[in-house]
Amino acid sequence: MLKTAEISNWLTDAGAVDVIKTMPGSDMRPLAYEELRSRSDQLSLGPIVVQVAALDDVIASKGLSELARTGDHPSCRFSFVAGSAVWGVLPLSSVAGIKRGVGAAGRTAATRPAFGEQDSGSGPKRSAAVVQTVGVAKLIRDGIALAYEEAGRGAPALVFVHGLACHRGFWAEQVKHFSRHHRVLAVDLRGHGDSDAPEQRYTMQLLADDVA
Amino acid sequence: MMCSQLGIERPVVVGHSLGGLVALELAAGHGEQVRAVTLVDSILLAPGVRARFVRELVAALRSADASRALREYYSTFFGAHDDQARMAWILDEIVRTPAHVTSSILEESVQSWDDADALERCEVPLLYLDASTPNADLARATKLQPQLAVGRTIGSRHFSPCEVPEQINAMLERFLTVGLEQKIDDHSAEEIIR
Repeated sequence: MLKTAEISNWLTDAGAVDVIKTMPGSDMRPLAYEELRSRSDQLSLGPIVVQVAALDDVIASKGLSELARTGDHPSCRFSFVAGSAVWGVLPLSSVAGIKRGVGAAGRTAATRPAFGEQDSGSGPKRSAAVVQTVGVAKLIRDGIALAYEEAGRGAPALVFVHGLACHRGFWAEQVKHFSRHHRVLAVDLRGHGDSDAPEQRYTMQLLADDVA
Repeated sequence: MMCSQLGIERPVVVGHSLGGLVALELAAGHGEQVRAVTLVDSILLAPGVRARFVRELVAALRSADASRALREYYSTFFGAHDDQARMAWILDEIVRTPAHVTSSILEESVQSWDDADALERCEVPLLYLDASTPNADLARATKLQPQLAVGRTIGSRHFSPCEVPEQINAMLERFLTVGLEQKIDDHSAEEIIR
């Protein structure tokens, strides 16, 4: 099955788009994933030329079934491959909880790699068409989007968890400092920042499991 | 879920305030996935402090002008040294959080969770970074977890990661360098007094 389903919001010359990125899991047959990739066509996203993967296959993939099932996540309009990942472009704000850009002024922008920087492989190269990536990266757990930002590399990795009623931007100084030598993750706990805030019990165990 | 999805293996989890308790629960419940835990000014083993915090915050959330009441309440988390513009930003961000989220977390953190139990179940190196407003019974915490290392920032109240990042970062750096493999060889305050 697919290992990750990650949603972010990109601002390009062609306008803002929500982007979903998937990576194959270790248990996914290489051939199945290659098959998915091989059925790609080229498509222009504004001035950017991208590969369009077989959209229905992406949505129908086991790892994305929960996305398709919720009803809040309509099908990708089209998708593409870059490096080893399959990307899909969703109609803007089609995903519940996605906010355009980074929201409030002063909030630390998620520092997502620019289009084409994600993989150095055969994917589209970085294009001047990408004005800025203001994306908020999100993972989906049981239909709930959980936002995060990631920076740097190096072990041990550091994971920063904000306090009650705060968000990942409160760790901006630590993310900047430690990402020079460490892989750093700053999360928005469920109900906070750019993560979804469903009406439910927010137990300590649930919050911890979201981060685990 | 997030760490495993992103392939982040055995991270050092650093939590501020309630985030420190989430980090503690993470280490208690998924010890094999966590390298170490740092808590920054979390309410720990201080039931009186926690009860007052919950009571006052719930009252603010229930008041007619919750946004204003929350601002007033959280204003008490700042001191004379704090940068006014940063304080305004923090207050602006805090009042954005949906009330049902804050209420539920407050309720669950008291009713369905036990900090002493979580602390006892932790088997990873621990660091507590205190601020100038005592929120933890560190003597008792050290009894439950003798490997607990303790640091304290100066000139800052609760939001020390924002207010004095250079102090937080320096202590965290030292913890990463010498505290992950062995117990940090500091004396406790009690030992020094004896």
